[in-house]
Amino acid sequence: MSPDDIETISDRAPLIPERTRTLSTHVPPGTAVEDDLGLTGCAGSCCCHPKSFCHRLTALILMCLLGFGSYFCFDNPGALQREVKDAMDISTYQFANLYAWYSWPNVILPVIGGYLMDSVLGIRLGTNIFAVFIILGQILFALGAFLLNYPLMQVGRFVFGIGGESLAVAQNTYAVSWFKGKELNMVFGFQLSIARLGSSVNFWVMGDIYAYFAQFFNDYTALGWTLLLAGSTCIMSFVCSLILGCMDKRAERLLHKTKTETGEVVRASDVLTFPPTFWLLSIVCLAYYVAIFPFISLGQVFFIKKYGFEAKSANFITGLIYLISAPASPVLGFLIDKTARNVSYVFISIVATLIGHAFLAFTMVNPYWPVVFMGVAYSLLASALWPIAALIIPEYQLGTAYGLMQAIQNMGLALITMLSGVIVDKMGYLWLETFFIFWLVIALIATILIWLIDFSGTGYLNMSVPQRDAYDEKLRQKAEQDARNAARRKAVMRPRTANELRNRYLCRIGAVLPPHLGHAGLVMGYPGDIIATSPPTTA
Amino acid sequence: MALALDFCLLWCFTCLVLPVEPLDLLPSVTDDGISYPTHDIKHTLESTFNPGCLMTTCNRNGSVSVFNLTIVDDPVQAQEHHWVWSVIKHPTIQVALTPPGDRVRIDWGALFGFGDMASAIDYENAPDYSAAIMLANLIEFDDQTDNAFIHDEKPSVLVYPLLNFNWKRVMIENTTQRLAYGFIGQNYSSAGASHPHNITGTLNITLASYAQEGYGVWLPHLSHSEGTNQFDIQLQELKSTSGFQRSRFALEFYIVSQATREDKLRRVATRTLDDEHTPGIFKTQELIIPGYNESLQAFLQWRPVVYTTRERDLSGSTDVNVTNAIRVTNASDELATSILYAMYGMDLDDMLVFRINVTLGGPKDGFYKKTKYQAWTFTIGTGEPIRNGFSPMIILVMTIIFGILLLVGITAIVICIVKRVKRRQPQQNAYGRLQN
Repeated sequence: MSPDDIETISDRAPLIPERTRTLSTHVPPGTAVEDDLGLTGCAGSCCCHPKSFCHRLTALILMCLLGFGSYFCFDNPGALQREVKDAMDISTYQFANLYAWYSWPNVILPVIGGYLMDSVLGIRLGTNIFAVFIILGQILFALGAFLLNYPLMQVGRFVFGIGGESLAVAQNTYAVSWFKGKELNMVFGFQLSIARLGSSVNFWVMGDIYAYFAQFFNDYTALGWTLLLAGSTCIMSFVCSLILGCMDKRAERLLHKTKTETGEVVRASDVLTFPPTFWLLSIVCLAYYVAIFPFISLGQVFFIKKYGFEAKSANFITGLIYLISAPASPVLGFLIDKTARNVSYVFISIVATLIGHAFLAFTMVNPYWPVVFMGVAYSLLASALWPIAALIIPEYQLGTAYGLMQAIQNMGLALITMLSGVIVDKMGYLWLETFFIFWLVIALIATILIWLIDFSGTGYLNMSVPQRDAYDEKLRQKAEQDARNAARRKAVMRPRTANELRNRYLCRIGAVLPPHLGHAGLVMGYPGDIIATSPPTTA
Repeated sequence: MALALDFCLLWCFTCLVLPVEPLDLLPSVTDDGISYPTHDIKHTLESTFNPGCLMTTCNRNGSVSVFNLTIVDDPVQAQEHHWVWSVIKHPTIQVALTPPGDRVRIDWGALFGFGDMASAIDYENAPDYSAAIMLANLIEFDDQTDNAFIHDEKPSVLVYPLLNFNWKRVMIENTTQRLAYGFIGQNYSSAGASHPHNITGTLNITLASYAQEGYGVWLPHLSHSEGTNQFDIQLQELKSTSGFQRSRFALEFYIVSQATREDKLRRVATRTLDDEHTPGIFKTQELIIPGYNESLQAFLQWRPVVYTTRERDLSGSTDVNVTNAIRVTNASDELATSILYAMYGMDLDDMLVFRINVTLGGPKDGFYKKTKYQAWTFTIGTGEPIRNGFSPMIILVMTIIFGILLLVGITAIVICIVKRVKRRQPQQNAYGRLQN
């Protein structure tokens, strides 16, 4: 399978590792025409020529920064949990709602977002619009703090959610449009790392920024200024989106590129044909991520309360999962590329995360160890889980499959994050950790069932790379054989022409076809007849 | 693979859970020398109100409240718990471990100043051990530095003696298993105080005694047993004429214990894994009040949390700080007009007497004025402080979760083995059978 054949997928935190993106052949990338463009002067220089390294490097940087603002601001509440709760005088449940409101629009957007981007808005306009949404969302979020109006903050998060997830899809689509082959894997790797870095940087700096503003303002005004300042990263994303749009338009005009699509258009009819493994995979996706993202959202106060951390250290350890994921995801993606056995890796990831949560729940060991453990496991799971969908769903249905998985995941996140807030308020963090362990056990059971179903069948999902190659080759040969047989059967079933009837007659009587028919020396036969393997001796 | 990991997880879980000792499984020795596991002993709570008082003031609503509570053990134990709650002048709790069948005696005349007040409250037989805690003063201070510490600068610290409050009594529950009364202090009068400032609002104190182990009804749901009482104080809508902009409140307690004067109070802070009963609070703090030995001693136990809203949840909470204890050297003089003097008399000079301040609030919490409500709870008990393990509910849930996982894992492995064995067996078709 050629790496040029790309499927783009978007999700919030589990950015799809590069392998996933190379597994499908659904959407052809924008292909450049390989003729000489004849650009002269500045337009043809290293920086401006659309095919030049510098120009494409600029595009890559812009693509990475395009998502930075969204990822940076997504976890603003998590990094300022205590400050938000104190300033707005809200419970943990109300705080958790900020994340739920982000997820709610993304229960629908994965279903219609692809269609909107491909058929209505187009990639460039779509990207700009979604970038405006995240700016608007962040401004409303900050405004809610300034006005001490918590519902307005929630509206802000909802608007931010509309933009954030779709912007990730746009980011991927741009990458497909500008890069191909092995370059593309690297580009996705960069995007993934910058996204994770954005989340980590948020956890590092937001506390200090708030502390700075708190010197001059009261708590909620300081919160408003902090969020507004964080919103500058969204403006940066918007500027990147504008520049990238211009560059893309120019490149399209000069290179006569074909239109690039997200490939994420969901078809309802596809859903009925999905195998049980897919639904189990969706359960794993839901059950695993609800044990990670709400934990990160509510982590700051947990580390302060249970381990006596200062707010800064608590933020650092909370963001550590993302920080580890930045370098680990490409490495582990490479590992899985080379070894396959996806189901085993998913199983190991879930068990490792479960152990991490169990240590956080039932021990007082240094929490850095379980969190590092969970960070690696989280990266491993993202690399192993998402490609499984591409292995079990036909390529033409992959857009629907990924859209559905994202929708299910977001619905789970919205509900579970809210419930997590209630649990913290009413029952405490021990029950919250128990709740996460419960979901991980659900994920583990679903994984076992996937493995069982797979084992009962071909075992393809858990094969090693050589086994998978051999199986694919065998399958290819069988397909060829089947095609040949089908062709033969078709030939047998076809009513014979007059010529064929005559030849059959001649064959039966042992006559040799006349040379002018172009079959000199060939004794005609049909399946089951004895066919001559050497030319006849008679002229 | 699944099975192996399941076993690993179960092993980890078992290792983590098993070391946790269940509450109170140590045997106890009874009066007749037979030892019973403590969970086999039935406790009931008997209480009398203003026992033996025939004065008219005793019948007024709350102005004089003395409760005598006895924890009756079945079978009878070598020692019996007696509790005295008094809200005469200052709210006070006294605990005494006495021989079984002992009774408290109150000389009401002496208590009201018609005689020597010393030892106006005592027992028929001298207690084996006794300790008491008295809430003496409410302190208001202007916390300019927002660090929630009292600085001994006179202009910024005001003391409101609790005897200047008028007290009302409200019954919350009165059964043989639990006795809980609310004492509402209002209408502060500054007459006789060291400063002219007045304070309005309510000081609401709830005292509760239990006959069984369990957890308190309200947050922070502190552990209790027949050997503990709970003291809950709420500062509601307090507003003084002090003019302080950054007002905080503190409580001044006197602690008395039948121990040698030179003994020291011991502060213990433990970090727990379980915040099930007090969400978000993983610490427990204790003040060990020395006695004669580990079973004849007292303790105060609390969770370091002050709730700032009536709903009492984590988001509406702040810190509490118990300052270092100050030894009271001339106790019989300093406490001459208090109920503690009525309980111990001149013995106070030979006993361990300390004074502690409890500061309610923490840095950056917006001060008292933010919500105008603060609630803090502690328990006072005898013997070793209660240490909690995981609750049975957590253990049950985890067992079910991992049990199901184990079941699924084992089933999957069995299915896998069966299928693998079937695959290895040579396929016998109809021709094969014919050939055989």
